[in-house]
Amino acid sequence: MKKAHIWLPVVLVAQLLILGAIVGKRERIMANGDVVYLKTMPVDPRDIFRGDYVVLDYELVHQAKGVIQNNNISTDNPYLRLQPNKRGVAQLVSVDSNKPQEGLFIRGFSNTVNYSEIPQLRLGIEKYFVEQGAGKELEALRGQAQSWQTPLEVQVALGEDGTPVITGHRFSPIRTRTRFADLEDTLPQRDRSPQHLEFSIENNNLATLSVFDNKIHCGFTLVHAETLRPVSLNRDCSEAALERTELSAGATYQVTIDLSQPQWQVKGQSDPLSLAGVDGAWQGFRLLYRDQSGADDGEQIISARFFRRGGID
Amino acid sequence: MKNAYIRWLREQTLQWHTSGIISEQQQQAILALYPEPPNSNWGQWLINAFAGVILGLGVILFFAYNWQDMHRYLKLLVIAAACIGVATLTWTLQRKNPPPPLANGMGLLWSMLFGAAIWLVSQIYHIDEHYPNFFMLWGLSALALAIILNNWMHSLLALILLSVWAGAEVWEFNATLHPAQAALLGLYVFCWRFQPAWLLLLSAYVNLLMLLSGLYNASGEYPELMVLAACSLVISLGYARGTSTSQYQLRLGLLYPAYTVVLLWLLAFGFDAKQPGWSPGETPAHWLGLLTIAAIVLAFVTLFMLRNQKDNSTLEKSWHLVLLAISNALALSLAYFPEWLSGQILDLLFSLILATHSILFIRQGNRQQRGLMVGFFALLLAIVVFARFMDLFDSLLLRSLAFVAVGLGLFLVGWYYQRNKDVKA
Repeated sequence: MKKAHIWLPVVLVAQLLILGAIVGKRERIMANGDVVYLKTMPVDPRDIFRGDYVVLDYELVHQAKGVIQNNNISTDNPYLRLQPNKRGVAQLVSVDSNKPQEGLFIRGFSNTVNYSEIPQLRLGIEKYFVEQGAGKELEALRGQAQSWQTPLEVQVALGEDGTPVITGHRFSPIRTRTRFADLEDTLPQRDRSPQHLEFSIENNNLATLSVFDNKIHCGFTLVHAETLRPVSLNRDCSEAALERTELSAGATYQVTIDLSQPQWQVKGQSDPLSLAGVDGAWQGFRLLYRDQSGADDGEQIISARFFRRGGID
Repeated sequence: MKNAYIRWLREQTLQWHTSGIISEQQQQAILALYPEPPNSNWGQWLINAFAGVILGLGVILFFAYNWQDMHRYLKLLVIAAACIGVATLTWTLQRKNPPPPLANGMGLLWSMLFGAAIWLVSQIYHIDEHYPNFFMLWGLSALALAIILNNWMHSLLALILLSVWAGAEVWEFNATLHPAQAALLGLYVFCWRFQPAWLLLLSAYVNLLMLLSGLYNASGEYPELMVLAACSLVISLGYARGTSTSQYQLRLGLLYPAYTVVLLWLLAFGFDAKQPGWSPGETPAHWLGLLTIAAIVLAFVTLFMLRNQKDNSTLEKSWHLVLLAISNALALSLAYFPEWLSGQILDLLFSLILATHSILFIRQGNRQQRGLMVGFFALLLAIVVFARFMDLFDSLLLRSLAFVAVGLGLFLVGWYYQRNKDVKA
């Protein structure tokens, strides 16, 4: 060990090579990768080593979980194939076990411990590091539960192997509000059973936004909050035609859904159940609007997560 | 002689001189026999080490602020330049003979700065793929420096970082036997050879904890056997190290014999091998196979290292080690290939190993004239034979022969013990 110090430069060179490799890969992706936007739902914690960050909860990850669960896909690295809409927001096309040969795709990670039946899936870009204090500002711009909320859309460059690198962000031009119209918040939570969910969509700054819906709100589906898989039976909707409503900038479309109606019943053990009869007060749901007109600029709009006892994220 | 003893001697001789028992010249003559070791600058070493670590943490927190107005290239340039500068300073100081205390502090600062660089890069590019990998890079770098600089402070830093890496893989990502544990085992072997006993022991416990957790993830059921087998591997290594160098004696004392007995007793009697209850799940069996092979290889390497040591004690301990490695191999193999051996053969094998251990301990107790030890293991040997022959053999003739053999054997032990005592007297 007497002349061990001659190895010190080797350690330094190895360190610099490792750092260089990590930095070089990301810089190459940022310079040459295809760019898409991923819609998110953030919160604001802090990392002890890297300061403030915003947790990014990607909509398409939830959708991919539903696909993985539905198709029993088992792999540590699922590949999410994407198709951007006219605004550049990525829509999920499929989830593959193997790396696609062409097109846009992101490599996911699902090798975390899984304590539930819901598949685990991450993209490796769930933390958006910001200057100390800036996370709070983003949070304020995003909006609070039960008030108007604007999703963050994260700009991501994609590498050839599906590695995503965050390169920026913007706010969605569509904002939403989710609340219960008949929530009796003076009652203890266990005694609450609100039935009327109010979901509002506002065209914040698009030229026009088309919403296809009808009187019994067949344009909307009740979905599982984690996997975005439909849970409502949407009875009476198979034949019902949808009407188009054009929202100019600043206009709002509001639906009030009576969750006790048969249309919003979910599959039970034998008979359909109303939401109030679903086991587990912790089970969350969302209302999902998907443009069914077939237009390639169609938007998917998702409500905040809500619970049958009236809680809303 | 240790500083503490010299201080004690100085105080005592001063008292003797004051009481008029010895003269001042005699007091000085006594003290001259035990010169104080050269000043080791411990205080300075520690202060520099703390300074290095704290300064490094400061740099990490500084970058954690995440200045938006500072371009990412400038951030990278600053941290890379700091790393290169401190590394160069460390190298320059380490070339001096002996290196000054500042060299150690600079080395630790270098390690911390590399950590800062990793976190900074992941912050700049919002990387959140698999955070234990950051600790892997940081920990392996610290391990490299620990080995090169051969300093316990670097080893401790490496141990902390590698433990976080392994802990995250095992607890958060449900790993069974992960390369992180191999890195920890590597550090353990390094400590075994070069580092103070307390660090070796700490490293052994961390290794144990990780193996325990990983193996629990693997089996889900009946984890105790896996755990005991893993423990025996680590403790037997520590024990072997205790035999090979007197400088860093690891005083396991009674722990090792007691542990061995408990392990082997469970293997021989506590495990219903006829109905294996292992559920390996999706664990890659080859990892366990590798661990088993490693146990055997390590045992024989140790034996090889001790080959020139002629004293009986070392050879006995080496045989303990080999027997324990064989037990490990059997237990772990059985976990994944329960069809290999029938329950009865296994019971017999583990019982034979336990009996052999007992005989070795009796021999050791005889040589060291430790009556309690001889008595305990003689009794244990008798119990093993009694219990085993009751459940493995129906023939009364065989049972009686076994009891006759054990009875005669115990007489022999008593006679041998007395003879040794007389010879020594």
